[in-house]
Parts: sequence; structure tokens; C-alpha cells
Amino acid sequence: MMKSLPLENAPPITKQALVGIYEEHSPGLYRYAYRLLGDRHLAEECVSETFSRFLHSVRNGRWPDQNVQGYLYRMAHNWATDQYRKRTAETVELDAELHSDPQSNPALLVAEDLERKRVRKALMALPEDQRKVVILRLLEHWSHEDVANALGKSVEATRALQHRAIQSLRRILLADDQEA
Amino acid sequence: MKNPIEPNEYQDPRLQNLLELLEHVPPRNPADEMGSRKRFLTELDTLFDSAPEQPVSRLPGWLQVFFPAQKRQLISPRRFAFSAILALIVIITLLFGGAGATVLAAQSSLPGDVLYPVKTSLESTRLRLAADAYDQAQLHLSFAQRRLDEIAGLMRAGRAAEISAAAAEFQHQIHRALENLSVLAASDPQRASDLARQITHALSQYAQTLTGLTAQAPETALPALQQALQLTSGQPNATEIEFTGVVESMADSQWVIAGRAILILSSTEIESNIRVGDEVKVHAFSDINGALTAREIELLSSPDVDEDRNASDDDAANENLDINDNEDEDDASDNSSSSNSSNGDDSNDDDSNTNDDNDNDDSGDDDENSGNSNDDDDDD
Repeated sequence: MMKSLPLENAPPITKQALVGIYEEHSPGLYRYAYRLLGDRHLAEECVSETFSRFLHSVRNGRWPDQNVQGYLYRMAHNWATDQYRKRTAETVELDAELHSDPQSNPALLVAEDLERKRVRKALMALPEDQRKVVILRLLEHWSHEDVANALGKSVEATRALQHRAIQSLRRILLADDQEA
Repeated sequence: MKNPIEPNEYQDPRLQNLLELLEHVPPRNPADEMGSRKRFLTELDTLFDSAPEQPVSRLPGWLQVFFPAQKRQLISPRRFAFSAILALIVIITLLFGGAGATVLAAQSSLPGDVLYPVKTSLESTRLRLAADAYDQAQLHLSFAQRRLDEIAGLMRAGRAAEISAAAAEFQHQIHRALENLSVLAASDPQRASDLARQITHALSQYAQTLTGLTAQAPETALPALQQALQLTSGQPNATEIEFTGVVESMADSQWVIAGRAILILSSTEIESNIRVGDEVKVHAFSDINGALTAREIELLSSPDVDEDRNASDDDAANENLDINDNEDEDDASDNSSSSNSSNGDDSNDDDSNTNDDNDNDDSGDDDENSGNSNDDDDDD
């Protein structure tokens, strides 16, 4: 579960505070990147890259003014989206995520994997903010307030974004079902 | 879930099903995770050690004789640069004069000391060289002990600022050991159960040490120490999960239920009479890496409960120990009537007459009859 970091009273920038930020956010960022990319190594790389950029920003005196959490997720999001696009453009298949479950048969696993890729592709087709809302709210189960905080928008605005995102996803993902 | 999603947020259950395909995220690869962390810490050191606003690393005690004047005070950047160079010279000298001496000096260093990174690098190297998850877990346990020693050392030196980081590092080591345990459980259950015993033992020792440390800790370090203490007493900073499944194996400190290895602590509440093959409900704490520590294990149903356990084991006892036996069953029946207790027990056998009578007499008995298989409903 996410914890929002009170940014207005941001802690003095010490190494410990930075290590604390790493400990607090690295698991969530990993999950976030994994959901976008479906690849453990890339997700891990995303965590590394995000924190590297974050450290450089802080070192250069650019402490994120609004909130660290939103800042980190924005950077992770950008990095992961870039990677996804790059990979898709190069038509390099991301590794199949065959989540082993003794009760599933291989055909089912493959079908699920294809379906997962289709959902991810649909997610990537959404405008950036809508995509963030879907992941943070519906997959990470953040509260509306926390999502709004991370996006730097009002709760009403993020709810509206979510509504539009869901409609787009229905259109993209369920269109075939409706025709059939 | 703290922030449950309402079904209408998906607008369509089919979309919910599709999105849920992305819910599952496999645990991080421990080696990769360690790599990320290391990269972060290295960059942190590189970028911030020269930063003027940073509290600067202190020299270890044996080097402080060179700088009696600046003992226990923040060093100015220029002086720090100088002292860093000096430390480097000393390190190089020692490397060529005797690597053993450097290692020795590093081993006794505390977080924030110049030689401390040498100590952690040595630890990483030892981990990399470890043969397998079993050896790695043992190293993690010994490193966790070191972190506790360091916390004690920092307290003695009055360096409260570094305590929280050391406590976080302590927790990190425990998590890694638990992670190794779940890796091992999949490949080598026997050694895994041996390891689980060691971890349980270590955790109870750590808990004692931490209790002592917490009692004399400065206020700023309390939250970190209390968090560490919670972890050692089986309530890690983690979500509690529940699942049901069949008990596949039961070693002292580790059970396998529904294919998942679960650490059993002395504080774990376990319903009596559970055997391999029984269906149970597990309440466990799952840490961020998915390692499970049991809080409570309840018996749901047992494949042989009617024939074997009640009939053969308990039958003889039932005649004399009706009341005791009743206590083991669900609470609701305790109040119904003590005279019903023998009927309730016998009902598992073949005494249909008594059973019918009871149905009419007292509806509480119905609960009792079904109590064996539905204990969880009542307890929840």
C-alpha cells in the first residue's frame, strides 16, 4: 500500500532521508514499472534509472517542489513508456510472463499471456494521465486523493480522467466482444 | 485493501477481469534488487559526499588520534577533503602494508565511518561467493547481528543520527534471509526447514537485543527500532493475508501449505490436532517480497476427521473427558448446555437417535455438529 509523503514539510536532505525515500518507494515503483513493461529486469532497471535521475536532480538543488512520490512515479512512467515504445518499435518481444500456477495448463497460460499483452497495449494507447490513473487507482489501489496528489490534479479531475480512461479501454478491449 | 475499488469504477465486469490480469507482479529478483540498491547507494555516496550541506562521515576511532581537535564535530568541506585524502593514503598504505589490517579496521567501523563502505562491500562479496540460498541466508543473519552491534556502538558513541539507517539495514538483512528461505523451500525442503529453525531462533534473539536497545535509545531512533522489533516478533511492516489450503509438510519452524512455505514462530497460534493433509486457513504476514510468516493457522477440515481422529483417538477419551473435549470445539457450544456435550461428541459416530433429539431440543447443537468443518466462520 502506498504511503503519501508529506512534502510540504519535506525532511532536511540528508543521506538517510534519501535512503528512506528509496526504501519506501522502490517496491512500489518496481510494481508500477512491471505493470507497464511486464519484464522483471526492465522493471528493476526502471527503478535504478528513476532513482539515479532523482539523485542527480536533488544534487543539482532541484528538490521536487510538489511531492517526491509524484515526481518519482512521473519519472518512472516516462522511462517505462519510452522503453515500451522502443521495444515495440524494434518489434522485440518482451519476455512472456508465464506466471506458473499448477492448476493452469500451458495453453491457458499462453492465452493469458497474450491477453495480458493486449491489455498492456491498450493501456499504452491511452493518454499519459489516463494511463497513470488506471495503474495507480485500479492496479495499485491508491485512494483517489493519493492519485490526485501524485498527478498534481484535483480529485474531481482524476475521477474524470479515470472515467474517460475506462471508456476508452472498453472501446479498445471489448469492441470485438460486442460485435460478436 | 485500504482503498477498495468499487465495481462500478470499472463500468463493466469484463474490463475488470482483463485489468486484473495485470494485477500479479512477480517478486523482485533478489540479485537484481540488490544491484539496484547498491547502485543507488554508490551514487548517493558519490554525489553527496562532496556536498557541503551533508553531515560528513566521521573517521573511525583509531584514525581520530590524528585529529583530536575535530573529534565529534562536523568537518568543513575542505577539511573533509583533506581527511578523506588522508584516509585514502592510510587505506592504500594498509592495502600494501597489510590488507588484513584494513579489513580488521573496517570490520569494527560504524555507519558513517570512512571505512564503513569497505565493510559493506566485503559483505556483498561474501554474499556473491556464497554457495546457495542456504549459505546466503546464514550470512544475512550474521550481517543482521552486525547491524545490531553497530546500533549499540552508535548509541554508545552518541551518534543517534545514523541509528535509523542501521535499523533499516537490519530489516533489509532479515527480509533477504526470508527471501532465501522461500527460494530454498522450493528446491530443498529439508534444508529449508533447518534454515527456518535457525531464522526463528535468530529472530527471537534479535528481538531480545532490540528490546534492550529500544529501552535506552534516543527518541529520534525509536520509530526505526520499534519497526525492527516488530519485524523480529513476527509482525513485519507488511500486509496480512489469508488463504486456505492443504498442509503438505510440517517441520518445526516451517510448514508448506498449498505449495507455499510459511515460517512458524513461537508466537504463531496453531490450532491443535492439525496434521499433514488437513485443510487449514492461514493468517500470515507477507513482507514486500512475498515471504510469509504465520500469525495463526486454523483447522478447517480434515480428510480423516470422522473415521480416524474422532472415532479411534478420541473415542476412548470421550467417555471420561467429555468436558475437556468440548472446550476444544467452538465457543458457541460452551454456553449451550453442559449436558449436551456428550451428545455432541457422540454425534460424529452413529448415535442418530440422540442426535435427532438434540436437534429438537436445542438449536445450538446444530452449530456444534457442523463446528468441525466450519470453525472459521465462527472465529471470524
